[in-house]
Amino acid sequence: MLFNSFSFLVFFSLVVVLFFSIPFRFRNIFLLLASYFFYMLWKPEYAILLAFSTISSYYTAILIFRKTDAEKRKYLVACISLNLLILFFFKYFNFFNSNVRTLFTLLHIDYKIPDILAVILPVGISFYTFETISYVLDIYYERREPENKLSTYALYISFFPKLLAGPIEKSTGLLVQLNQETSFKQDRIIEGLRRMLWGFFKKVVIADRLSVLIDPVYAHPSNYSGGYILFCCYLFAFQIYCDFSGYTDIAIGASKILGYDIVENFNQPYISKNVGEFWRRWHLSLSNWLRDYLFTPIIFKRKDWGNSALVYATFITFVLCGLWHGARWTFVIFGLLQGIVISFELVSKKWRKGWSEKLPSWIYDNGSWIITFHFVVLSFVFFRADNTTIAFEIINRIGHIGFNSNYLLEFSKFGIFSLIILLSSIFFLLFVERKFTPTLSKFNQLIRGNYLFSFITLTLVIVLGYFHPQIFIYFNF
Amino acid sequence: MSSLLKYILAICLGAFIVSYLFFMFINLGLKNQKNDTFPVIRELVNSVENHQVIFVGSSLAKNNINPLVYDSINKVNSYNFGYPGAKIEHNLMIIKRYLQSNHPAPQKIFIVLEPYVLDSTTEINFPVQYYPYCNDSTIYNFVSKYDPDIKLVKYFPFIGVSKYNDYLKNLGIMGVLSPNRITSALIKGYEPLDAGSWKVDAEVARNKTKQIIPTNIKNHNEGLKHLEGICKACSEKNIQLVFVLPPVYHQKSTVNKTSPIAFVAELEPLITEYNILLIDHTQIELSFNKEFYFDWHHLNSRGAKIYTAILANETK
Repeated sequence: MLFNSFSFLVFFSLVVVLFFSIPFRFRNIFLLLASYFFYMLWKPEYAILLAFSTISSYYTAILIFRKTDAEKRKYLVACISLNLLILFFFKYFNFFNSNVRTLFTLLHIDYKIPDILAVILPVGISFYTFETISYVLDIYYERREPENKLSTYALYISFFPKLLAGPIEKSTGLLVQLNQETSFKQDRIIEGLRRMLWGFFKKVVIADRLSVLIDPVYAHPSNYSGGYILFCCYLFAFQIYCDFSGYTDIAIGASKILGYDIVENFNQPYISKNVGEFWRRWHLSLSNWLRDYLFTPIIFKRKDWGNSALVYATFITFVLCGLWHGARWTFVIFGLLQGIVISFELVSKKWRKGWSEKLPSWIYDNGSWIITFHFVVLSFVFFRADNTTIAFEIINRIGHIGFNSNYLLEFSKFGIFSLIILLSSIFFLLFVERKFTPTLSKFNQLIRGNYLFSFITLTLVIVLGYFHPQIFIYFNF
Repeated sequence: MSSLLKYILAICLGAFIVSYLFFMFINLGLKNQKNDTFPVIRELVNSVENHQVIFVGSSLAKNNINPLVYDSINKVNSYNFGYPGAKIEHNLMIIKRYLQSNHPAPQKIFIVLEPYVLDSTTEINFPVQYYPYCNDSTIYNFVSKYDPDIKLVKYFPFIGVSKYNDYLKNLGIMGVLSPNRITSALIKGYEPLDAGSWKVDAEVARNKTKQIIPTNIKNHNEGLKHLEGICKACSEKNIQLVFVLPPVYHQKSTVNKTSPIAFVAELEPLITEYNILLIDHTQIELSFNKEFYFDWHHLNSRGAKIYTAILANETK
């Protein structure tokens, strides 16, 4: 069941009405059942994996809490290994196996382990695996005590608004709220509806319309000129942002209506003036997770290495960040590119500061912004391309831009109406998020403005939406 | 009234009114359009012009038969009601709807047939093109079998606008804002294809031809029932029905393999019972000449001109 489908609207409306109609003590159980129902609509058998991951991490956390320091480490390692093994099996095995096979073939060694046929990636597995790991680590580091009720913990892992594509919640956030009573508050519901509408606008008006234009280019780049491909690369930056942040807006809005606040995932990433800042504004819940549970522990472990520890930790973190997105070399390259540039930013801090003092601030700031944005657009080529051949072909074609008499013909494929809708929608998006912040919280003070904004957004969704439900890109991760 | 209820009512009502008006605006434009299939639907629903001859079928009718050529040879007024991807039930709907309002009935109706047309299907090609005419009961009853959404559109028109893609919205806007600047790409329903292009090489054409005229005919029981419905409707009005098997590009070496004997055998009982004229053009010389084709399946404008002349002379 996709968020941008009619069935989700019916499902969610029913959940909200029933949720506020039943006594508080039954609400978590009810939401848990609703969440599993929602998840099982994708592929019922994968709910077993979700339940297994939940139960194993829940009881291991209790054991870790009760055991001595020496013993609890064993349980921690066992629990994390088990969860990562499941993730590896379903997400990375075929990728790993085919690469090992290639290597063995090159070395003329017989290799007989076949790929696992027809393994469909359980949707949301990367997100909930990270949540279970963070919970167990929080218990291990004594940041919190284990949750008393299995049902509440299971709801924290499977809470349907964020189950399929995050945000990745920490146990110190949502889990705490699930133990507190929520009441029916009209203002919260209005705020949640407004946020959901904004998410729908980003998804169906911008992201899905862009997908129709961009997908063919990434499928057969050789059919298009460098100029057209470059234009589509810029557009992809907006497609991926609107797709993922649109999903997050719907998730945050839906949670808000039910009385819960889940973490923000985006904060105007394309205004960043360096790549480090970009990652502090893009997919925040993943960036924070990696910072807290990977980057910082590595730095602590290698604190005697000085600056090299920073570079080392950055590289490890971003290569794994790339791989987290999927089992493809393109994601490894994407992560490597981020790692290289952020490492450069770390080691060149003093040098850059010198330049910032020498140059007028508007030149330095705008120059930094332009360089950062273009780097992000370029690295997204590897993020979007299905394989390295396509990614390099795209870059090669962009590198050979020249005047082409077919340009007008290619651009006419957009259709003037689509182009006007797209460009004006993107400007509307940038205007709203710049003026009212991505969380739209400034509308809380504007009653008429709130009505007008919601009316405009709903009208645009109905009138200009692309209603051929397309899966959210981050469901693939 | 609570603030939540006020909020929901205000934004929903406002958005629904605007989208309803937009839907009506687009529909008005689509009804004015001279491009795509819209003039043909308009002709079907609104025109009471007397045609002595009409052509129905899939794109093989729409792109292969030029009514102007037919009219000039046979001195009649004809119209081409071919629709891309149309199956036999679609043809039945067109004939019924046409006979409902066009009097006197035509003297001849040509149905361009190929095995694919008789395949049973669960969907029709591009159902949203009929949304501007969802108040027409014949069209509504036909489309609603394949696209239940038209029921929603009929009662909640604002939903219709969400079903239109950018192409239709663009056509609709142009249809309202500058109807006089639109020049029709259609000639009495016939859509000419560029004479200079050939989309698929001969080898692919040969393979495709095998697929389109298979030696093992699928179960066409459902399709044959609809075809019989057409035969009955024409018989009641004393209309001469003509089955046309059009030329499809193939190389001479494949003639035996692509012979439509099995398909003709399927049609035989109806041909005998309703005294139908069968014209088999699958093996005519035109079928082997690549220069007259737009692709392996459709004639280009030169080919269509020649083919229509052949058809017109054979049915004088």
